Amino acid sequence: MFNKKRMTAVCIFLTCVFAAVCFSSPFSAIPGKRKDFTIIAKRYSYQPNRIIVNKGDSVHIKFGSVDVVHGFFLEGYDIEAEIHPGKIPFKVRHPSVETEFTYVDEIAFTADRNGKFRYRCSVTCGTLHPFMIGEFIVRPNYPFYASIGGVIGVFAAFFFNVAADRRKSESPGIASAPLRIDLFKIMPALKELLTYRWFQFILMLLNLAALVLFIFAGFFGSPIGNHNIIITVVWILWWFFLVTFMIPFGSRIWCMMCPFPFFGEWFQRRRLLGPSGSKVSTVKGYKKKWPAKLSNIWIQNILFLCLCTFSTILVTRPVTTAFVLTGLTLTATVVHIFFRRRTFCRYLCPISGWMSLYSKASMLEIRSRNNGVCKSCGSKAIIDNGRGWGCPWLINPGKMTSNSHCGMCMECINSCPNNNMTLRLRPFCSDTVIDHYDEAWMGFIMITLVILYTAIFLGPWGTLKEWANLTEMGNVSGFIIYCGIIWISSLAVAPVLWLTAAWTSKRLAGSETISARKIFLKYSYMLVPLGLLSWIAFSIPLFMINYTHIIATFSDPLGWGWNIFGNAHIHWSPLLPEYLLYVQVPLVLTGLGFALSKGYAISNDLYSDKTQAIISLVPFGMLISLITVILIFFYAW
Amino acid sequence: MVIKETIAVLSVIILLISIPLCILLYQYVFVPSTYLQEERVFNITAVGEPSGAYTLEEINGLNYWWKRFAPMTLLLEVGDQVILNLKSADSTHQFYVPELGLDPVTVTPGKVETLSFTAEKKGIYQYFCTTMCGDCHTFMTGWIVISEKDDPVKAPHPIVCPLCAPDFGIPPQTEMLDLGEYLYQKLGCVGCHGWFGKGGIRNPNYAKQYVPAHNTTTDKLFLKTPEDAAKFCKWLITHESIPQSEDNPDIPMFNFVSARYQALKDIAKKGSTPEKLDKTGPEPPLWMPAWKFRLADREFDAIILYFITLKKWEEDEEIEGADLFTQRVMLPSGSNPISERSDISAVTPA
Repeated sequence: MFNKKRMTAVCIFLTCVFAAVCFSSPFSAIPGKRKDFTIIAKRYSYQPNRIIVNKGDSVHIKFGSVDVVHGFFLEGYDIEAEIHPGKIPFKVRHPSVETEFTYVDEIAFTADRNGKFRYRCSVTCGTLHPFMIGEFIVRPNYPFYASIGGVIGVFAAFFFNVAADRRKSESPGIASAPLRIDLFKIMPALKELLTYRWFQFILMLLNLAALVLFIFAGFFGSPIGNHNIIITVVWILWWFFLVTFMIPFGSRIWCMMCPFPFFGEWFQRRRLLGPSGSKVSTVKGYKKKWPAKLSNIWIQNILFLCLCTFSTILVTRPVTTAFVLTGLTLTATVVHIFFRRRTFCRYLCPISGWMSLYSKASMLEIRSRNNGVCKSCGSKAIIDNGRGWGCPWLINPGKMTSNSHCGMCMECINSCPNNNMTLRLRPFCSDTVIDHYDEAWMGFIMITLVILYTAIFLGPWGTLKEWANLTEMGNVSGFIIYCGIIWISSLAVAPVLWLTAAWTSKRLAGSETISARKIFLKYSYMLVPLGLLSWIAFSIPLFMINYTHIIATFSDPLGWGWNIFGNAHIHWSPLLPEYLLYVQVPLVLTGLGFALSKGYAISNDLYSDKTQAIISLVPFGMLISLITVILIFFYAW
Repeated sequence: MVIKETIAVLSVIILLISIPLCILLYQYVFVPSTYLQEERVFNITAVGEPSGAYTLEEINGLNYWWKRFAPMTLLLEVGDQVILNLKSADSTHQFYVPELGLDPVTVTPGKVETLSFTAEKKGIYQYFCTTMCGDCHTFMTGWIVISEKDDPVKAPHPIVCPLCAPDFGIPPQTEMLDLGEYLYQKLGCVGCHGWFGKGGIRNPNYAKQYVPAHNTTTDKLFLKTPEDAAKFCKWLITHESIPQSEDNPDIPMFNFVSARYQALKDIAKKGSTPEKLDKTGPEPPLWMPAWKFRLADREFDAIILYFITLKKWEEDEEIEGADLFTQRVMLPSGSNPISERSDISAVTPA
């Protein structure tokens, strides 16, 4: 485990982190001063939105609100206030020790913890209430400098190691077989379960039940997002689980239980529990072919961007989410009637597009055990053969080399006559091939969106929220600017930067045979691990801050005042919010590490000469580190 | 195989029907069954802008975005056992009926507050929202009418917020008088101090009974003649801050006037708590909010300037700068709910 290479990497990393911290710290201690602030709360930001003090300062804060009752919850300092407009005294308590509020004119405390702490609204004040955030920074901000040092450390350690690698062994080592664990071999019961027809049916049925409940709640329940189950479960719980667990550990396991295509697939198959026995079954419906020109994920890219343009409205208004879920279910059903198999899922579903990209990084795969068996078999497994339906995702499972379009429906496992298909565990980021521009652009869209969303939803800038919140604020020109930022930066700015890196890379490596286009496309895979991990880093706070809303809505799903399980009135209290940084930064640093090492694997495929390979990676490495630095600025600065 | 398939199909059908059915049964059969037969239950939802009302209408995801909800008028009979379930559709509100002896309850989103009381005495009682909840706040009030069986009490007109109906458009900061008038209406000052500062809104158990009027501000500032008032207004428009030692206008007792002015502005900035008439009685529901976080210093000047122009002088025509005194009407066309309101406030319970 602890070979010399790893030790050096760790040493370089730690040195960089330590050096950055030292750099940040003034050697003379600043004596604490009194600092006075008046914070004005307004839908949906605070003024000032960033408060900067030095460690040891005595901080005095007064509050005012100009529209409705707002709260103030300062993480890490155990302070919670309730600000009533028109009243100068405000209510305050220390939530960990007190349950009752007391009226005061001012709060005073000593800034004794370094770093960035956020203050949030703790009283539901309107649609964007969960995103009403301000920042309290106690300097010297060690965590921030340590994180930046971490980026430099990962970058330096990586390039030091690959350079050392180049000097030592010029001869290509014998490529070891990629690590795969055949789950069906070690757990035969798992195969029994996954191929048991009732298993998937019940999963889908449960999700369908949830879907019906959510849509009902969205239309007829409370208009307040954080008190309506459709918002709390879909956009907090489901999203968090999907991004953090399902995609990285289960590939597109969600597609196996997704309720949207339920009715359409039922129409096509006329059965719910698999084909009827031994005779060859046929799939019903018009079975039209999707136009070849559109047989890519461009439509999904655009649809996803459209949804994301309105995401602020989508994730805070129950009725909008209800309309979108209904719309998706109806579209899926109609498309299933006219087109063959899961055309909707492959070419239209806006969620499926990015899942197809990020599932490449997943640790789970369905593959054939032995390619030869599939070749000699005569592709019986991809057509309906009475045991299974044949691949609904329009691929040949035996020849599958990437997770992208495998919906994990297990039909190939059911139908394979030779028991050749299996479920395997594999290392993170095992498929490293991007061959088409649509996928590359999905990578740009996702990485741009995660940066923008981190700024909009987790940042303290009220103007951005106002622009995004079109239907309430009515700021049309702001919304146009906001749309412009989203569309131009994801569809143009990010690709142009990437292209610049590709040109620079080509120039530096000095190889004429490899085109800049190829470099551009191949390296774009580097955006997958970093993107996925930064989406996880974005989704974890959503869950940790708002989990109490989920618990409350289980007791009162429609916000009608029910209390089924007795915890409908659980008070909002975020889960260790001041330590979020210590989850987010390691995640993006891991993403950076994976991006660099996968980038190196890609460059070794492109160039036979190791020096050329390393040099060609440098511009991309720098660009990807820059993205990490931007994210860290939002997390910690 | 066929049996299994049938079970599966049945389970899908049952599921699709049962979920909405269970929700409706729980809400409309189970929940009402938890109350006693003789109890009269009202489900009230508080909603801020643009309705500014406690409403008996159901507010859901579908109608919240476009509908203006009607304020409730609760019609009761003596002897009714009443249960009020209060919830909020947006932000925090407070429900207070001082004359019924109901203490203020804070209505926070996500929680249903229950009040129960027995209707004892015939009369008209006013309920109030007593925590500021947006610009419609001062209109978020209405009536609880208790009649005797054979002697019904006529319910007053409901109070509807007129603010969001017309789009005023914000006047520029330089047009001080227009700005003052705009702010006076937009911030809901009119809800308590009356249109054109006429006052006349009853504040239960307040030492002076009625919320102070503002068309008497000129007198309160000791501006005795129209000329003085006009000079003061001009001076106010041209000067950023008060008091100033140089170029004071030629107004009798100017220092005194400016001190009064400052005191008035201070009340608007810091707010005030109304004094009780009956010291042991309930807190008066209407209180002067502190506006200092909402308004800029110059905007206070603009509002007070507007008050000064509300004074009706006898010889209006001859005054220099009379254009300042032009009365503007900014009411929504058609009805004038406010005048009705002040009429009715005077006829409340014995």
